[in-house]
Amino acid sequence: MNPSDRLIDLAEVFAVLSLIAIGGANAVLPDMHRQVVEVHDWMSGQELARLFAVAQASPGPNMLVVALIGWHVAGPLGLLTATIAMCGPSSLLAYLAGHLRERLSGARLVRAAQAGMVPVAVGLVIASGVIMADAAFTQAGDLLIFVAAAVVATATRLNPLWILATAALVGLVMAFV
Amino acid sequence: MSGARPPPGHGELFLGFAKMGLSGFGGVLAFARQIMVEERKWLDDREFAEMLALGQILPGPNVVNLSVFVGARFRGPSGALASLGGILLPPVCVIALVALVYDAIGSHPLVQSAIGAVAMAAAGLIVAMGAKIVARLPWRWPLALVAAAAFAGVAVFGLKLVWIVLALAPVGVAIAWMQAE
Repeated sequence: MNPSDRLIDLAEVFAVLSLIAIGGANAVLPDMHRQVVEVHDWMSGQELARLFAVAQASPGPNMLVVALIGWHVAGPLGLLTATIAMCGPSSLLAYLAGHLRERLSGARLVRAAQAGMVPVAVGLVIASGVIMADAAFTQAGDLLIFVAAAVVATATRLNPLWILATAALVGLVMAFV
Repeated sequence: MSGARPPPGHGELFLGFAKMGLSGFGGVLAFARQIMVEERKWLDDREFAEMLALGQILPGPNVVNLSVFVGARFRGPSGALASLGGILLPPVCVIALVALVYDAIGSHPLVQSAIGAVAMAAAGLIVAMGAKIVARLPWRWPLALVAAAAFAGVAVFGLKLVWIVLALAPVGVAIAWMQAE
């Protein structure tokens, strides 16, 4: 496949994801997984899970896993294409919505829309975590890391970076046993 | 907004959002509130919560939407671009470096094992994020059913997300509309 075709594919995939990513980029992880792994076969599910981990461990919005996918598929231009496609359409919509916000805020329909969308977003977010865990799973010990991270992050106000760093250490140790 | 405070200029917007982007290991939202509300006093708590809610119901990355709202409020379209540039450009540069390093050493078995473990923990963090939202909301059972249906649609039945949103969003909004009476 020639490089410009790949850029067009990237732009198409992420522009669509941008517009359906209600609840944030994490809510479309399942769809991202489907497009990247199954539809376009750009990488394996495990590879995607690892890129996701790299993005989580880097500073910045977690949606930047999109930049890494772009890089993996088509180098620096792919990184730019994927990032712009993921942020452009939704940002344009956000700009228009921001204008309307002042005028409509407090209206009953707006309040109902906010309250009614939250549970959908929450269900999708939790499902995306389960799907990422499923994709990254290689051995029984992994399940323990997943559950421990979820419990500690829910129950404490610990900086998530400590949880990721601890997991990295555990992973290093597991490589020797 | 206190009227006495001059609105931030383009440079301030860019730098403020760059700081949020570069501080945000494992998610930017906590830093977004701290920097915009407490440190720079661009927004008060109520304004921040309102913009965050809108950013969440609109499609797209929440923090990116937030940067568009704030930039546009103070400096119009060019302000939105300055904020967007701040939240995206510096972290993209960092992550490009990370990607280079990953390309060089990523296939080493030790690195693979460590990153595999981090991937599991990162997935756990996402579940925790959802759990924290659940814990903070005043749940009434019909909306909890909507959340459960959204979860099951994706995690159990593997349905396409856009159909789940199209099917469940009207149900959720209708329930919230009736409960608002």
